[in-house]
Amino acid sequence: MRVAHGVLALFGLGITGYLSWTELLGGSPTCVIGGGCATVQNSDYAEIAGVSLSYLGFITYAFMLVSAFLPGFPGRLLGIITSVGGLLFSLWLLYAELFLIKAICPWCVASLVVMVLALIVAILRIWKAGDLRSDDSVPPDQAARAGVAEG
Amino acid sequence: MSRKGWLIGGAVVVVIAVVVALIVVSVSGGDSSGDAASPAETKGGAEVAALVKGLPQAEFAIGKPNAPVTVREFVDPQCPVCKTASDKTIPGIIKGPVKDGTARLIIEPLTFIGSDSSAGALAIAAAAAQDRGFAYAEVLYANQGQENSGWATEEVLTGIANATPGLDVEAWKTAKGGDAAANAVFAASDRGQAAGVSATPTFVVTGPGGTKVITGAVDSSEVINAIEAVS
Repeated sequence: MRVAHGVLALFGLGITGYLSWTELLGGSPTCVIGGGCATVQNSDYAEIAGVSLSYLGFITYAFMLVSAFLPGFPGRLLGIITSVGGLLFSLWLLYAELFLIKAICPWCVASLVVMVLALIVAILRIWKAGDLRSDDSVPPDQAARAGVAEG
Repeated sequence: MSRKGWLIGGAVVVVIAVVVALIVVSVSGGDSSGDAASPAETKGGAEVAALVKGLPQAEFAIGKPNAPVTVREFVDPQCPVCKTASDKTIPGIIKGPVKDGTARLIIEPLTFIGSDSSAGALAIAAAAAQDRGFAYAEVLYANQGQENSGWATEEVLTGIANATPGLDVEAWKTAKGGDAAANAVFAASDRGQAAGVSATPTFVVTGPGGTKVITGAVDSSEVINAIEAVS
């Protein structure tokens, strides 16, 4: 599950990294007739408190990647936080694209898909851990036997 | 549930609350430039009056009618980047080549973003019937709201009309509902398609030396260089 989380985080970093890069160095912004990523990126709705959602997404995926390297409870906690937060932002952006900006950025939709999968993985990671005190590297049944032995 | 289970649940609730709060703050106008002003607080009238002072205006244009270079700026009233261009690009063009008679600037309102675009474009066209199309557009951008938020209400557009220097608001109201305004907007759309405009703002700079096309809220020097290149 940690590997899956890490792989998804890398996908997300790639997507948001590309969007952030184009935003930084993409030349003069425009509103594209017929919609598209430029229109979405240049919309007032694509930023929160003045910060572009591309940058926020990149940071979120970076923390998600960190969660993949963290074993045990800290990793699971960070994983679920980044997945829930990232999914909420992605859903908000999808709503804004469909109903407000009236333009769709395929890259943003791809990020939403990654976030949905990341949340599923984060939930599975918690569920599979069974005993929340256990290390992810130790199967739950062995952790339980170790707990009994210690107890 | 274990203590750590409660911790995870609590963390998730906190994350949801924080994200929702940030979104609400953003949508409700944490950035004041994203708000359409109420009619009582319509902005930009004085600045636009100073900008256009002493310059001839005709329909959607500003500058000498016989200027050798024409700059057509294709815009959408809702495009945030067009608002940026209004602040960043237009003043330098007006104070430079338009003022010295080298160029004439024409606003071409397009309506691809949504219904607020149509309302704004008709309002600009109605002002153009009194040779105040450019001035109205500039005041509109000073009061632009967020895309498709319903900001272009009758009250807001009338407030903009009140703030537009030299505009007869009652005559403007009549013109806004008429065929002439609608036809003017259709004509702008036709010219945009003929010029191959695919994004806004687009500056089509035409002169004796040819045509140059610039897209985006560029620095005014870039458009001024294009004007010199085609002069």
